Formats: sequence, C-alpha cells, structure tokens
Amino acid sequence: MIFNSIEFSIFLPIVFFLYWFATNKSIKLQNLLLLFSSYFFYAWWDWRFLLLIVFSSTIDYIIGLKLLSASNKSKRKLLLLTSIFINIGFLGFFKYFNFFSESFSQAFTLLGSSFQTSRLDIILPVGISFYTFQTLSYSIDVYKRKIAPTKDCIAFFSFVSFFPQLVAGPIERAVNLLPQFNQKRNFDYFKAVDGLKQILWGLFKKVVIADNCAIIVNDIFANYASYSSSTLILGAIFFAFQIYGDFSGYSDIAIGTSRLFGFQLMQNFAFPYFSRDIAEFWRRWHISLSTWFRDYLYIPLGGSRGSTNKKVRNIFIIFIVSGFWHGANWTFIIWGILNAFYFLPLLLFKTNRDNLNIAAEGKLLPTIREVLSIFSTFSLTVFAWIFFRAEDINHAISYISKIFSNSLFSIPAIFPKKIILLILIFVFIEWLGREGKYGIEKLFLFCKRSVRWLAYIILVALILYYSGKEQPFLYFQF
Amino acid sequence: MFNSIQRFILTLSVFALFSLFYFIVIFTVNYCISEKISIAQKDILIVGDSHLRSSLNPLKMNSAINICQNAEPYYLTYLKLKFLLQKNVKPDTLIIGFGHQNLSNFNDYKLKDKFWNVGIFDKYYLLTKDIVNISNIDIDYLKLFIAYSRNMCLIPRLDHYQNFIGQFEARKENKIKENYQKRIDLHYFYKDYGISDLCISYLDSIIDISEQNQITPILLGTPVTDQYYQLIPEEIIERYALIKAEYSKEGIRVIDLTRAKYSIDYFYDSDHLNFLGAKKFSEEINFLLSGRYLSKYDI
Repeated sequence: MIFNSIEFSIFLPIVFFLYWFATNKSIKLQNLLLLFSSYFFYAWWDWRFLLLIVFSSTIDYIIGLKLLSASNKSKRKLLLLTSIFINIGFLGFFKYFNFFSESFSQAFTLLGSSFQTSRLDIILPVGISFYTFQTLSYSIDVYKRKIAPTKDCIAFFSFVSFFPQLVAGPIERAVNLLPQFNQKRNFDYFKAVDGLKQILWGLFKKVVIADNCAIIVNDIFANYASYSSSTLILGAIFFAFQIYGDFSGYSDIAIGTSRLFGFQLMQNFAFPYFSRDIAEFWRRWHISLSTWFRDYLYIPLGGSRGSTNKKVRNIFIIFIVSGFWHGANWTFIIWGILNAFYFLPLLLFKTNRDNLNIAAEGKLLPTIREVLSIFSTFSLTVFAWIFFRAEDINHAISYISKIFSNSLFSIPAIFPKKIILLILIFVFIEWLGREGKYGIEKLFLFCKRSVRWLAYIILVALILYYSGKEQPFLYFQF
Repeated sequence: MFNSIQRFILTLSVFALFSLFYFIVIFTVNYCISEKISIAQKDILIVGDSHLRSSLNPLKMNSAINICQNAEPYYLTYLKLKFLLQKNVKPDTLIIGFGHQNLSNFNDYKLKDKFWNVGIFDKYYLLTKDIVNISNIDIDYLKLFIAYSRNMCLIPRLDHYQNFIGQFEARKENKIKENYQKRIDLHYFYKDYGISDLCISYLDSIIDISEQNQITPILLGTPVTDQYYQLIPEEIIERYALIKAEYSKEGIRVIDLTRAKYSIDYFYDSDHLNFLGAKKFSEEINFLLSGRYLSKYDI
C-alpha cells in the first residue's frame, strides 16, 4: 500500500478510529492493532514477504532475550554476530546476489577467462533495507547495553513493522521508538493537527513536486542523446527535486502519520538543499541513515580520530557502504565515492563542522557568501545525482559527456513553465520554513484561521489535481 | 482525552465543509469558463487521431484547423464534433483521419483500460455526459468521475479545451528503429484481435452528422512504412478496402495515402510522419483539395 493511494486513504482512518476508540483502554491491544495493521499494510504489496519480516523479528527478539541472560562476553558476541549474519544475509541474498554474481563474471571475462554465473529471478522485498537496519540497531544496542531487551513480543514486532515507516523509513533506533510502544499514548489535539499538516506537506512534495519532475526526468534520461546539454542540466536539476520531494515527502507522511497515533519519529530531512557545504548536506539528508552509519560503522571504525590515512579510509568506507546500501549497482558506489571526495577536503581541513547552524538563521535573506555556498553545494549534489539516476556507469558518463558539449548555452528543449513555477514556490516555502521541522510547520501560524485554512485547502486541491499520475516512491526500491 | 479527539474530529469536519465550499465555488467558475468556447472559424476542420495530427499541417492549407488528438477513437471524434457543431463551429469541409488502426478493436478498450483511459478522461472530461451514454462499450465510471472532478473542482482553469481540441504536432524525433511488431501488437493485438463494429458505426455517424450540417466529409489515410503495412492483419486490410469502396460508391471522397511511397526520412516511427513528412504530405493534400492535382490515391 502506498501513502498516495485511495487504499491508504481508507486504511488510515479505519486504523485511527479503531486505535483511539476500540483499543484505547489497553496498550497491548493498541500494539496488537498496530501490528496487524502494519502486516496488512505490507501484505497489500506481497503477503509472502511478510514471513521475512516475521522471521527477522523473531530472530532479533530471541537474540535480545538471550543477550539478557548471557554474561559471557564471547557468547554475547556470538549472539550479535548471529543477528548480523542472518539479517545481512537476507539483505545480501535478495538485494545483492545478482550484482555480485554478475560482477564476478565480468571480472573473470576482463581477465580473459570465462566464468558463467547464473542469475536468480528474485523480487526485492519492499523496505528490506529499512527494517533490516532497524532491527539490527536493536540487537547492537542490546549488545552494547544501551537498551534493555524487551520481553513484550507484540511491542517488539510492532516496533520492527510499524507501518508508517516500515517500507521507506525513517530508520528508527530501538532506543527512541521501542520505549514508545510500552508507554500509554494519549491523544494530543495539537500533535495530531501538526501531524496532519506534515502529511499534507509530504503529499504535496510527493504528488506535486516529485511526480511532476519524474515525468520530465524519465524522458530526459531515457532520450539524453537527442537533447542539448542545457536540457540535460535541467533534467539533472529536476531529478534533484524529484528525489528530494519523493523521499522527504515520504518521511513527512510517515512522521505525520505516526503523530496521529501518538508516536514521535526522528526528523529525516532538514532542508538539505540549503546546505552551505557537503558536510552540512549530509547532516541534513536522510538523517536516520547517516546517523545509523555514523553510530554503527563510522565510530566503531575510529571515526575522525587517528591518522590521516585512517580518517580517509573511514570516510571512503562509510560513503561507499552508504552508496551500496541504496542499490546493487556500480552507479550507487560511484555516487558514494564522489560524495566521499566532496567531503574529504572539509574533514582534512577541519571545516566539516563550520556550518552547524541554519543558513541565514533568524534572517529572511541569506548573505551573498551564503548564496554562493548554497549554490555550489547544490551544484555538486546535482552532479552526483546523475550517477544515482543513471541506469549504469556508461549511461552516466554519456550523459555527463553530453552536458559538456557545445550546446551548453542553448535554450532547453523542455521547459515546463508550470512545474518550474511550482518548484520555485516550493523552494520559497521551504526557505521560509527552514527553521522548523518541515516546510509549513510555522508558516501560516500567524495568519487568520480563514487564510490559514484557505492555504491548506489550496494545497489539498493541488495534491488532488496532480494525483492520478502516480509514480512509485523511489526509495521503495532500496 | 475524548474531548481532545472530539475536537479533532470536529475541526476536521469543519475543514471538510470549507473544502467542499471551495470545490463548489471552483466548479462554478470552471463551468462558466467551459461554456465559453472560442475556436477559430475555418473552412476545413481536420479530425482524427495521432496519425493525422502529426501529418496534416493546417498552416500549409487554406483556412484549416487541425483538432486531432492522440489515440482518439471515432466515438470520441463524433462526440467532439457534435459538441463543436452545437457551439456554432461551421466548417464547409471535414477531413477525417482514416487509417487501418481506426477499425481495430483496441479502440473499444480505451475507456476501460488504465493504459488508455487515464489520459483520455483527462482530455475529454467535458464530454462526460455524452460518454456515459455510449452504448456497447465498457467504461471505468469511477475514473471518469475522478477525472471530471479533478479537472472541474480543484483549481480554476482557462484551458479546458486545450487538450480536448488538440492541434497539429510536428514530430522531430526519429524512432523509426523501434520495433514495428510492437506498434502492430498495440494497434491490432492489444488484448485480442478483432474489428471494432462500434468504431465503424461511429464513422458512419460522423459522415451523417457532417452531411446533415452541410459539411463535405473527406476520408484521409496517412502514409505508413512498408514494414508496418505488411504486418497489418489481412482481415483489417480487407475491411478497410471494403469500407473505402462503399463510401466511394456513396460519393464520399476517400484519399488513401497509406501505401504512398514516402522515404524513410519522412517518418517519425513506423506509422507516423515526422515534420518533414508532414510538410510533404500537407502540400500534397493541399494540391488535391484545390483540385489542381489528381492523385492515383484519390478514389
């Protein structure tokens, strides 16, 4: 089930009413309802892969309990490794088997010998990368004694499969989300209204911005050979807005939906395109994944401590793994490497923490220096997105080569004025709302209710107007 | 707690009422706008699907307007024509696109299958009242209702006719290398193979309504590549020839250029002309219509 579907618009109110009116007397009942709703939500796509979530949850639930009783260090380590092995094993099999198989085959061919590998016809279970990392965080945190293992299997299974964030995040930590399943949830009017507003903004980003951009991006990337370089640049910029609208839109809907049920999820995007350097961009883009890698990979590797070589190594590892997490394709790895190259100078010159605040904080307009920094960071990001979007490395290289052809200053063959206007309005609203958690959080608060509501109704109208041309959420494939 | 939820539900209900009021206001505005159609009065009206849309440039002709629309079956052409005639559009000649694909039963799925109907309903929503009255065709009523509501109730628009009316489209890309079979499968073996009696009867209706309004109908077939033509099912070719002969017998002019020898450089794909082909074709048709040139394709 996807958020911008008629099915979800029926499913959500039903679960909401059952949750607050039928099961509100008991946390256990509410958790049970959430668990069944989450499984139903997932099974709507393919019920067979539910078994995978159930199995993964069962393994980590049991390992959590075993870790509680195990005092022996090596036994604890063995239990943790079992969890990692099983979870990463599933992920590796479903997501990376064909990639490794084909890469081995190609490597042998390059060396002059033939090595035929078989390709498996595997469907990638939706959201596997997200819930695998979520459940892994539980095992690691229990192992590190950051959190006590839960004995309440309903609460734990609900935590792993919580439907708002099950298939595309934010990847929640057990430390943050699991305790919320054990607390009594009270309905809070203001939080629920805020949640609805965030859902509205998320849908606007997805349906109006991302889906409209997708149509143009798909055309330009598919027929890049017949377009001028200015059109290709426009295609790459549109993709930047597509992926941002798509993914941050999903996160907004997930966070807003959770708030309707009394849950607080972490912020996943913090206006990343207003970043003044790449380090800031990575503190603002897909925060739940970046911090996951930081806490469970980068810091255990030594982080930014130690020799320069070690720092460089750690940066490359974390960015390559991050790229690889997105998909089994060399394009994602190159995208990761490119970002590592962008990030490295900042780390080596110790300027990676220069921009910890928000651009033009407390002011309406940025300084010229800030504008230039934001523009250059955005340009670097857009360039890297070309690899992210391309079908394969050759496609990306041909696309980039075409950009640097002599038609750089020609008028783009595709120039959708309506969509460009919508993007400009969107960027303007995001800029005004950049000190909040999402674009319209505080935007209309000081207006009269009639004005505020009219603004929300126009957003609803735009979402409905542009619906019907649904594109799948990009991050479902990850 | 229940006070809090009750307040939430009440707020949502009031918001829904306000939204409804907004939608009604917008609908009224759009309805008034859509009642005022302005289409240039021309002597020649060109109707049909993408074949004629990409082939016949009205600027190469004397007082003509091309209102062809992609994937337009005859039953929609008829409704469109009826609608325009009611709005006092009065041409003296009607050029009707007449290709083999217009007779295939893939046209019968265009109001039912998602592949077609989403785009079609978004263009022809102003004809909703007439579309639901078409008999012997499956219609996805929910999608039609959604398309109508979406286009009429959400934002005020001045361009209700832009998609619906259609226009000449010069195609610059070259997709000639694409698989011919793919196009044939789409046109003649979409779900099952067959001839659309519905479309044939609506073609008759188009001719009838033209004659009732003192408009001279001309059927016009656009060139297709040899490879494409060879793959058209025999039964469709035979039926096409039969209809052509019948109309000619009735004194209706049929210009069939489907087998005209156009160089491959003139094609956009297997069955559509590109801008160069359109130039040549439009000039030829202009000659034919002005009576200065009698083509062997003019029967």
